[in-house]
Formats: sequence, C-alpha cells, structure tokens
Amino acid sequence: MNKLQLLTNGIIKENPVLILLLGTCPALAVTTSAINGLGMGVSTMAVLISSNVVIALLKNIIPDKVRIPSFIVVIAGFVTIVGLLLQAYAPAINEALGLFIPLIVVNCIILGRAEMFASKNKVSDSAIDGVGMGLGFTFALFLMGSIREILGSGAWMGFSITADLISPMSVFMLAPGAFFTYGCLVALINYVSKGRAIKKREMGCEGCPSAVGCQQIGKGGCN
Amino acid sequence: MRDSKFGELIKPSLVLLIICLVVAAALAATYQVTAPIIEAINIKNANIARGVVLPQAEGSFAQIEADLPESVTEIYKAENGTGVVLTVLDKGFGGKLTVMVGIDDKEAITGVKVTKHTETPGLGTKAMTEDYLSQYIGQSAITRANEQGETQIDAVTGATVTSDAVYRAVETALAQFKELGGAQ
Amino acid sequence: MKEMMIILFSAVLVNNFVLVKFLGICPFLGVSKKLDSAVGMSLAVIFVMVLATAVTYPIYNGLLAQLGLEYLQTIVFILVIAALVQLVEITLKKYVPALHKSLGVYLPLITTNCAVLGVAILNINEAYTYMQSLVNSFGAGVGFLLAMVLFSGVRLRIENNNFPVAFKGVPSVLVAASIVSLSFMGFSGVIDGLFGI
Repeated sequence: MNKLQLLTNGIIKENPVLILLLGTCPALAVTTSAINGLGMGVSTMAVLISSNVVIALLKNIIPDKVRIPSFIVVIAGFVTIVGLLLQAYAPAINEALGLFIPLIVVNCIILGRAEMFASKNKVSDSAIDGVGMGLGFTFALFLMGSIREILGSGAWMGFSITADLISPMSVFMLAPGAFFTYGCLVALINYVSKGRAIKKREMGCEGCPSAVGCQQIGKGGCN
Repeated sequence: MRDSKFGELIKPSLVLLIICLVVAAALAATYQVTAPIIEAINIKNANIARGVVLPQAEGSFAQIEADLPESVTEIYKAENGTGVVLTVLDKGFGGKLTVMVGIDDKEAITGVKVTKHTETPGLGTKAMTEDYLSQYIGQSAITRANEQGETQIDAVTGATVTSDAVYRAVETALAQFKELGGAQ
Repeated sequence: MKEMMIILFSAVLVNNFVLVKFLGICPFLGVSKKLDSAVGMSLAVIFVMVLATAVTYPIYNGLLAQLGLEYLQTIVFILVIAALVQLVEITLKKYVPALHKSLGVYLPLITTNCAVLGVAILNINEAYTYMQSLVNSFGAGVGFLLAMVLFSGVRLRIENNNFPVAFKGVPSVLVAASIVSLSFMGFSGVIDGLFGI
C-alpha cells in the first residue's frame, strides 16, 4: 500500500464511523452541532496521531505481556494533555464536549489502531494512518453534526439559515435524532454502494475496544 | 533460569512502570504550563458572565462572604458599588438550573441569565431567550401573569416548568438581596 | 432517603446512560441480540460500575484531590478499572466457577466500556457524596439493564421483517434504537411527579 492509499483509506474506504461502525458513542453524543462534531473530531485525531506515533516507536520495547496496559497508559496520557490544552485554549469547545473528552481514552478507534496498525508498522506509516483515520472520523462527525444542526435548529455553524421561517425539528438535537441520523447515513451508504461498502451485518465484537483481549471473538463474538 | 524469570515477569513490569512515569511527567509538565491559563480563563469568563447581567460594574467584581441558603451559591458585588450579582440554583424540567441575577443599587434587576442547565433543547430553552428574560429587567418585585400587579412575568408556552424555575430563582435572588441589605 | 431515590430514578429513567447520555453504545448495539446475553452483560456492567465507583471515589477524593493531582484522573481511573476487572475475573474463575461461566465472559468487554469510566468521572463531576455516588452508579447500571432488555425484545421483533434492502442490518437497528430512545424521553419530568418537587 502506498502512502496516498494509506491516507485515503481511513477517509473513505475504511471510514471508522460510517463504514467500520466504530466510535459510535462520541459520534452520537456530541454531534448536536457541526462545530461540536468538528471539535471532537480534531481532538480525537490529535490523540490518534500522537498515540500511533509513540506506539510505533515503542513497539519493540514494550513486552507482549503488558502491551494493552502500556497502550492504554500512553493513550490516556495524550487524552489528558489534549483535555488540558482544550481547557486552556478552547474553553468553549471543552465546555460543549464535557465528559466525552476524557472518554476519548476508551474510543474503540484509538486502541484499535494502536493494536492493529501502529504496533506492526513503521513510524511514518502509523502517523499517516492516524491522519487518515482521524480525518475520516472528523469528517463523519462533522457531517452528522451538520445534518442534525440544520434539521434540528435551522442553523449551520451557528448561523441561522432558515431565518426563523420554518420551525426546526428539535427532535434532531435530542437522542432519538442522533440514532435516526446515524441509521439513515449508514442506509444511504448501503444504498449508494449497493450493500458492498458495509460488510458488517451486525454490530459485533469488533466494535468493542477490548475485542483484542476477548476470548469470545473466536466463537463469533458475544452474540 | 534467572534470565527467563527476568524476561517473563520483571522486565514487563519495569517497562510498564517506566512508561507510567514518563507519561505522568509529561502530564505534570503540561499541567504546569496550562494551569495558570485555565484559571485566568475561568475567572475572566465568570466576570464576563457577571458583566452581562450587571453592565454598570464594568467587569470587576469581588465575592461577598456570607451565610447563604442552599439555593444561593455565590454573591459577587461590583467593585464600584453599582450592584450585586447573585448565582441561584433551582430545579427545572431536566434537572438543576443555574441562574445569574444582577441587581443594582436602586434594587432593580439589571439582567437575568441562565448559565447552566439540562433542559430540553427547543422547548425548555425557550425560557432562556432574550425575549423572556428581558421581562425581568427593571423590576424590583415580580408577580406571575395571573396575579394582580404591574410587574407581571409571562411564562413561555411549552416551557412552563423551565420558566417557573427561572421565576423562582429570580424571586430567591430578590429575597436574598433584601436580606443582604442592598448593594453595599 | 428521598434524595437517594431521586438520584436512583433519574439515573435509571430520565438520564438513562445508553438512550439519553450515549454511554455504552457498543455493547448496547452489539450484545442486545439475545435476551440472556443482554441480561448477563448488564448484570456484569452493574457489578463493575458499582465496584469501580467504590474504588475510584476514595482514590480521587482521598489521594488525587489532596495532592492537587486532579489532572491524573483519567489515567488513574482507567488503570484502576482495568486492574479491577482483571482481579474480579480471576477471583470468579477460581472461587465461583459457575458465576464465572455465566458472567465472566462479559467482564473483559467491560474494561474499556465508556459507560464504566463515564459513571466514575460523572460522580466526581457532580460532586456527589460517597453514598450518592454508589446509588448513582447502581442506577446507571440498572438503566443499562433496562435499555438492554427492552431493546433485545424490540430486536427480536424486527429481526425477520422485510425492510428496504439498504436498511437491512445495522441501519434498521439504529432506527429502532431511535424509537426506543424517543419513548424514554417521556420520562423527563417524571421525577417531579413521583416525588412532588
């Protein structure tokens, strides 16, 4: 795989949210507006790139036995650093994302990429993979945030676009709207790709960050 | 024999310990850099919020230490003596509601702002718009719309519980203000 | 007592962890296919949530907050929870193999479940007391159980229905989740009715 493919892979073909169906919690929770989706996406991308690089650097030093705990420590460290930086330099975003900033640590995408890619590949490739996956995640969250903000509050990026002529469907700002938007997006991708893009018919064990340490995965997941 | 034991047990623990220490050191360093900035931002934001409900104070406030009832969390007075800002907690539809009320030295409300809430977007939040909250400005006593008096406050359709909560919070603020004995 | 009940009921119904707060979506969508696995998973979640809170709360308030090390919260909590889950699994395997057989398989899944870390952090953010934190964690776990059980029933019904091709599989599950979560919105405000405040 060349570098460009590596980069675009995460954005389109293996988009973590829309195709691989990973990282669903933040994708549903913080996408009440386009700007929140963007903020969450960029924060996650920062953690993803840094952790990918550090883990690729350390891959020969970390003994197999403490692999997962070491990864978690590295990731948690970067999450805290990103959280502190947000508090200091982007307090509005930090306020809007709240609890979901520390929860980046358990985002399936980050531990998943550390385990599946960074621990087996070169530093430069891991960095590119982090950028690609991060951009894909950011794009998906931005898209969902935009849809929900336009339908739910008649605005986009904070600017009103319906000029209060139409009363917006506020349900799109709430929990049911999040599930519905996500479901429709996945269905749309299914439709456009004629069912080829999304191989997964079920949300199975691959979706869970601890899949790597789970004995059930060989038996076809925990269903 | 000793070597394999070292490889199996001690080495992994040692590596994990070193990683933990390095990460903790990196965090401590970041914290040292960001902590003063975060604190400055928090103070600045709180003063900006207080400035919105009491513009006369020109953004400089000092906290008043007093015995407060449970529902009143903070009282700040303007450094130039033009009024006080009270932060009041009440219960809305979805949970706690934090309301900031500015009252000037003539006992009139200068501004009301909901700073923290968990109300339903699009419904409860209607009671946090300029339209609703500006009804309070200039009043020094409030009554509900269905009662007699000149200082009536209309509740917002679809956000009755939230508007009631804001109303009660303002009531609490006015009562606390009287107890305090004015803006001084 | 009344306050405890309010915390409990709002954690179960009004602020349901899965359907309102979006924590623990992965297991909610992944393990809700069959009722027995949904119940098993949820029981394990309740247990780990309460245990995690029981341990992380004193660590935060007794150690981190005292030393001014609040910024280490995330890293300490996730490590403590991971270690705790491992410990529970080993203990169960050794002493209560029957229980381990039914619940143990779900334990490793929970280590990095965002609902567990989420509840531990929320308890600190909300400045609850120790008892309130435990009640809140228990409520959050029960809320998870409720959502899982209800949803596994819904999934059973939609399983063999004839959807448009594009909606087959995951999208249909997500839309169904949307409707279930809509029904939970009816609970906001129920606390006022129950406890008259």
